[in-house]
Amino acid sequence: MIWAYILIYLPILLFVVAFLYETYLSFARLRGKSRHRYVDATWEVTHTLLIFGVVMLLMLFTKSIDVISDAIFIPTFLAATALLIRAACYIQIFYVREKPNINWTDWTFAFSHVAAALLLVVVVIKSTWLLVTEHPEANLQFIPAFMPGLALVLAICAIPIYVIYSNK
Amino acid sequence: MSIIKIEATINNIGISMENGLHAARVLMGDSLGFHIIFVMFGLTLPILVSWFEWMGIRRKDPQLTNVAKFWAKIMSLLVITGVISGTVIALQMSLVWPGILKFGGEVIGLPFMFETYAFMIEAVFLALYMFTWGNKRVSPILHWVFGLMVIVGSTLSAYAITSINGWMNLPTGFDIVDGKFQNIDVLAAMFSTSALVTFFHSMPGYYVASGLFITGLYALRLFRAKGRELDSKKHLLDYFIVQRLMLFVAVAFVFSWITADITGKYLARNEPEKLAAIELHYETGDNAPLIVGGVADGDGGIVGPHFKIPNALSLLACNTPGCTVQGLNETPEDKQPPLFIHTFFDIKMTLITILAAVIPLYFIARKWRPALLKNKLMLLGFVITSWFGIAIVELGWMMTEIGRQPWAVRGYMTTSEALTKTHDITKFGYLFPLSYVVLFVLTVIAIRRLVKHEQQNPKGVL
Repeated sequence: MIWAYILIYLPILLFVVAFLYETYLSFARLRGKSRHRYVDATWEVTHTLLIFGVVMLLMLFTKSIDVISDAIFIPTFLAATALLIRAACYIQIFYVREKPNINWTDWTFAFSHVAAALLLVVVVIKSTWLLVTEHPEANLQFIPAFMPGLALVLAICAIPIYVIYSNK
Repeated sequence: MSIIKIEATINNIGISMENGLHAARVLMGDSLGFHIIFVMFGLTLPILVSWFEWMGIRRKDPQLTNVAKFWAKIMSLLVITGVISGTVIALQMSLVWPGILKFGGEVIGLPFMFETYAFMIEAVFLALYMFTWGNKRVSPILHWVFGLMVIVGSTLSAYAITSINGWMNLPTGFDIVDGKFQNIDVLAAMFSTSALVTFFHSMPGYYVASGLFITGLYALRLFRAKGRELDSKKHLLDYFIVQRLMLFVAVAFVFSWITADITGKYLARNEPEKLAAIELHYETGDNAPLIVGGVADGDGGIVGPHFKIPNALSLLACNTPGCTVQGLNETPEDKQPPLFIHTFFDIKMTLITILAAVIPLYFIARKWRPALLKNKLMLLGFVITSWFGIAIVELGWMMTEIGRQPWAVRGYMTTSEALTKTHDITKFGYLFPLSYVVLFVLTVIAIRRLVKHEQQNPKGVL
């Protein structure tokens, strides 16, 4: 069972750290020092950590998915909405807009990070509460098939991830 | 009075559930329809980018490398939109349709988990690939290898997701004994016949659709060029790109024909009610004809202009005209798929037939009448038909998904049973499609900006 919790919470913890860094940068841009610069190369990787954690939570506890999905339905959908807004602002700021002036789009972009982060924290707290109080049965039969592959993928991706983050 | 009140309440709940189911299906359909466009390009562009980068390395031609770099910029832009729409779909699968995973999660949860591997490889190497363009510490070959890893990641990701869809169409890898799952074989579920057939049919379809669409953009550029400009060095590169893209499209088109035949036989064996609905085949029997045109009249007949190709459905189903093909009469009416998918199939086949003429026409013209490729009418024809691939893929997926109705997991769980019972999806059903429209428009504007920027760049490839 410990593996199930590690597979859920380790990526979420890493996501929170990486996402806070991106949130910091999105606000730092507003001060005007590095308006054109953003963590574009790392964003997808950060996002991968979130998807990894959420997928593990949902797939390892499919027998209780109705209870879990009921608890996290609203905050998750609102977080998805915030991420959609973030993606739209990102494209507008870094691809569409020609003038570098800071305007409401940049503020929306920055606050979409805060909204998504807060909502995802609610998702994590609610699901943790459920796991602690309800003790749902986990799909542990997946773990032996999943872990060797995970080790291989992490071995393949470790150096690239280090290179991307260390150069930003 | 109280009985009337209770009845009214029950009716309201009925309407609410009906609306909720409709909204949830619309939302899922919109999300998939939107996301699949980015999937097509997300799977094809890494291959094309790597191919052109490889040609640039081998021929020591910086122009080809720059073509790859330009497309790579568009690829990374499309990934931004594709990732977020994919995330929304993944959340919908769990939150809007929890019944599917509640029922079969212990069998089919593993591909979802494997998809995270694939997505991680794709995201990490795409970031690395974009980050190291022109970096002198990274050799061109190593950079190209990073691109290959993007192909590996995106293709594995496509397989994982397709296998889940395949399982929903043909649930395998378990037995149900006394109402409980027994003999669970997660690998059998992941590598089911349905998953393999769907994957190997959809992948070449994506390649055709995206390759053709990009060809169309170059054809549009040539169409807009003035007479003498067509012979300039700039447009010679365009002709070269079109030629390579058409080669890619032609190979993928042949593969999609072969796998389409395999898919037809698979449907006849494993999902006969879907095939019967697609072909409006009412009565089980041999020497079954293929019906082209017409729509179901709701009473077991066909109305509207149509014609029959004798024995063709039997030939499609098992290569012999005498082959028996199961009809809709063997499926209870409330378990039959909507018959309007027959019209989708007709439109799809019409578009495929046109492409089957257009693609060879390009090669014939290139070999024997090269001047035709500069003809404005010909170029306009290529521009128009370049959209057909995307329409074919969209129609194909609509047939597959709507053709499974009323089931979410075929034979085990209906769509209404799979829907969340505690939340109303109606509000999100309006909000998300609106955000897709905004994202789509922004993405198109962003691509236009990239193109404009490339055109203004003296070393640009446009």
